[in-house]
Amino acid sequence: VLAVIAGEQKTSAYDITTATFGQIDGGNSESWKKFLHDGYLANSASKAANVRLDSGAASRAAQDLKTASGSPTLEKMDVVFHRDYKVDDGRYNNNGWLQELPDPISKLTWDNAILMSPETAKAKGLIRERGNQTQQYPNPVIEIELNGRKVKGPVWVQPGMADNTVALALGYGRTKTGRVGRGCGYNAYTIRTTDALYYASGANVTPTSDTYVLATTQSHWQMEGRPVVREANFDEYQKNPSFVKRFDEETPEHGESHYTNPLDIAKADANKNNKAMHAWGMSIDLNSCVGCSTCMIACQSENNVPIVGKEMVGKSREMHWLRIDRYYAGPPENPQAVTQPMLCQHCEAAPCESVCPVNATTHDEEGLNVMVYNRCVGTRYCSNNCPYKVRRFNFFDYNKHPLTHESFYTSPLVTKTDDEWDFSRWLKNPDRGYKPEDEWRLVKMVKNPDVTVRMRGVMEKCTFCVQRLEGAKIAQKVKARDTEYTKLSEKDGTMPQTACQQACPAGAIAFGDISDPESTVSKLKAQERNYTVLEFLNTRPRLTYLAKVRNPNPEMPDYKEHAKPYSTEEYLKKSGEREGAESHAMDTFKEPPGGTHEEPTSGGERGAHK
Amino acid sequence: VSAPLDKSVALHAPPPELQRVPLILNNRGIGWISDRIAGVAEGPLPLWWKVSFVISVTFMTLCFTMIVYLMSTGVGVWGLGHPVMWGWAIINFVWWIGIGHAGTLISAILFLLRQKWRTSINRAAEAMTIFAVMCAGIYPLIHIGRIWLGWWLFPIPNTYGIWPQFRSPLMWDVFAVSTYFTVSVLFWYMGLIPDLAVMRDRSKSVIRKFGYGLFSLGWTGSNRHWSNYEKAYLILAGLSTPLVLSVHSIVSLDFAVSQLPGWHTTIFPPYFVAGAVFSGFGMVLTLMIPLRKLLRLEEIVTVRHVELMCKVTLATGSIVAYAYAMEFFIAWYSGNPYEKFLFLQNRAADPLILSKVFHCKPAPYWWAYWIMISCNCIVPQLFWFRKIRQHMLIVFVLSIFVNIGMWFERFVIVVTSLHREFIPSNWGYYSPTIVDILQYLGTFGLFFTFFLLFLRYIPLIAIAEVKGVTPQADPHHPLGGAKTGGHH
Repeated sequence: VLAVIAGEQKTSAYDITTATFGQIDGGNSESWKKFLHDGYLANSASKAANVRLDSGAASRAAQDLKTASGSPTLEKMDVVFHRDYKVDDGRYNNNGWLQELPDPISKLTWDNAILMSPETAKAKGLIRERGNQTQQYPNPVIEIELNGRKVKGPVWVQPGMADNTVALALGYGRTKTGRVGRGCGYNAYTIRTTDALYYASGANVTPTSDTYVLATTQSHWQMEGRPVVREANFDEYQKNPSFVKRFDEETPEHGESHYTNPLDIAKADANKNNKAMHAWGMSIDLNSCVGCSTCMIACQSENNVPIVGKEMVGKSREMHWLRIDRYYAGPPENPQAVTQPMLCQHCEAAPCESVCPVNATTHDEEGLNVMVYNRCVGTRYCSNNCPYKVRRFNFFDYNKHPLTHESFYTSPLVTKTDDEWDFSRWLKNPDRGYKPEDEWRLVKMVKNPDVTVRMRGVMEKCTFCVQRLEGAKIAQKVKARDTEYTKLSEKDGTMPQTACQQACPAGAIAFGDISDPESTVSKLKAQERNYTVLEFLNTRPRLTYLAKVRNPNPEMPDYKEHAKPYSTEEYLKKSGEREGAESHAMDTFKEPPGGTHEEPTSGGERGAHK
Repeated sequence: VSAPLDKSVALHAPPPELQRVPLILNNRGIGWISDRIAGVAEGPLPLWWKVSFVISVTFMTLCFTMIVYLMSTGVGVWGLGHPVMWGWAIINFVWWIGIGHAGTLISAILFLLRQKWRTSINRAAEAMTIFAVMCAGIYPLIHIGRIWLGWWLFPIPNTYGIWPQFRSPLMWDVFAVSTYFTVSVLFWYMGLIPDLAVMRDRSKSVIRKFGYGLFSLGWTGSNRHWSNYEKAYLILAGLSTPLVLSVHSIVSLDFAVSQLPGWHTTIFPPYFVAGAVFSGFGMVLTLMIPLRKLLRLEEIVTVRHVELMCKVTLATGSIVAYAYAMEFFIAWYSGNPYEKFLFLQNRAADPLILSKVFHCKPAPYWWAYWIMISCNCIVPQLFWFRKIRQHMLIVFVLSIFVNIGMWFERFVIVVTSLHREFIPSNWGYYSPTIVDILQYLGTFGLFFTFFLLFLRYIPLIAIAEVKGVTPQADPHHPLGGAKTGGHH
């Protein structure tokens, strides 16, 4: 094909190849046959180059390196250009799911920022104390000048960054892009030249008086010594394999309930009625989880989770049913980071269920905490009472608004779509929404037909992909006909997968029937690393986690000082004080002195307090 | 029925320093009382009324405009977000309901306790209760995501075969508030009947006569009427008394039933009731002090009345202060780190002292907590001083502080508990939007519109009852009885 385009006369692939071969070997047909037979051409290796060590050049290069970059300083910073985690070099810039996906480490959405270490930001006067935790930060804007080229962008203080270095994510600030990517971030390509594609040095960073609002999905970055993610180092794990237990708080007994738990009904007549053939459960291995967030996108696409846009993320209204929590532990200049997928825990004693006045969230016999969207009136009490805060509320009709809308805050009483008042459109057909007809048709094709598209004013949350479970059950019943093989089982390969489990590249998520002792999930839950988040609340979640085991080299010098993961150290500090509470009355409120309690915060975390 | 007195016992007036200030000053006659009270609702409209009515109606319109905007657009117009899913709507609901407590307390509990001073203020306080509960009642309805389905909270048999969930305290709320409202209205109306008859009899225009006549249910003031009236009043007072305690207890269960640190606490029911009475009396003072001046009712709503209300405010304010202290103590005593964190680092740690003492970061909402403490614990302590209790302007200003403090109490409970709870990754911050604020101001418009109409068309003081507590009506009063105002 290329030959045709190039205007060659010979267009047969065979002819072209033999011609090339002839150029190398001299056009001998015998050697061509031998080449085809052997699969290689003898004596065709590249000639060895005549190399001589030019020691002067080497030292010159080293000299150049020293003078040109040396170690970066506040005046001459190093610049790192990296492809963005989500939009890559910019090719996925117009993808709403990816734009709204929080960066696995910085948890930023819809923008790129100039990453900078806490120390450097402090030296540049870019950190301001912030008393609260909103998800939108007015962050200071800085200007980077590199070899005469300039770019401006908001600072994001990133614990663990090298000092005097700024990192610029590529792929944002595109001027020619679709309606999603428009206006997202700044263009880091402006100061990137072929001289320095990945690293450059000698950048001059000057603060400006501007600020820029960034939206993040997680505003608090420390675990506060709470045993949410539990970790141990390998040798401790060997000594005490059930180390997770020491994080457990005292758990009260469950009293007698006046109400029947559907699970008890299920147990009582498991044989008679086929409603409770399985007991769904999930196990997430924090050892395998790297926080890549693939599960979040898988969930979003499977369950028709809408994107809400930067403004709404800033108001903590993102809709992700599954989120990845990321915590830093230890000193901000060199912290340890842990990630934890957080989704509905499907508690057996679910706090959300008992407070719903309209029975919109209830339990089914197989242990799912089910959400009845049609029944929900949106009191939001369930979310308030959920200790894991995994419920999402549709504050505006995210699914019905066009992507190009200016603001969710405009009442549809005063807006028009396709030259028709939105209110009259609504009167004619309440499901029609405010999208132009073409976009509406497109959106219909995007959605998963097996999953309800939720309207505004309704609470929603992870269902353990109930549509897949039911689909598999129905398929199995069809197969089973009159026989009794209606139960799904892993052995037979009939067990469905949840979307997150299916997508997880690390295999960290296991889902299945915990009433079957042979299932993967049962075996994982039987491991000693198995623990429940906030177990002392006695919510008895069906989702449990496997604790993280780190494997640092015991020969390293810092291991002597920190034989435990930082998060464990923080936990022990807090709980140690708690145990000493009796003797030291009000001292219990004290936070541990020293460096580790200082919160490794982002620039936003400490950005201007509105 | 007076106890038979031994005629041989001479009845001496107590020495002057022990004499109580009469409930109606200047030994006014019953005709004067009728004229003065009924006169408020008669005659030409005063200018202040017209001006305040226009302002109130404007704000009431704002209230409904905001509701329409909210309904058409979505709950997102408020400042809510993860994890603070309840904000000003619930705060204002509890605040208004709390204010609505004074009325029934005054009319029912003080009636059963034979506190005669209640008669001068009970009518207005009850009206305030009803209008406050109306304002409160708006919020739970409009704060839900799908307002048009609010009726699902009522147990209405329907073809969907669905039924409310009675384990939810929000359900209990529906019943508690609606019962309270119904009984309060009935009680108020019951007490109004003799006075409406007075208004009817004084009416000069046909329309007024017809209107008052209709609502006074043919009251003639016969003995039989009075006898039935007194019995019914007593029964309703008995019915309302438990309601005074139940409503706010149940409202408090909205929080106490949950498992959130700061909400999950057994102290809430009594603490909420005390707080409600506290805020209710605060509001009664705020309303009555200007009114007695404006309507020239100083002889009926006397300084002594104001003093007594100040004392109730002081008592309930001290209970509230005790409850705050107890919450703190239990947070520490329980040994629950989440409770401790909440009380210190979500609420109390101010940037100047506590955060330094305990080496922690200042609580994001420390200012709200300390406004609450200052207004609810410190301000009412000033009512220990007689000079302050008797100084109307000071009492008026302090009563406004009480209202502010109680609003912040609800803010502290709702917002500071929610914004940083169990899992740190959830933590957030809440600030209201302009819509939240306008909605709140709007309910003031609604409240004052109704209150001004009440002042204008209904006797704001129970005429018949006030006459009953004048010295003249009491044969045993040193100044009273048939003894024409003289001492023995």
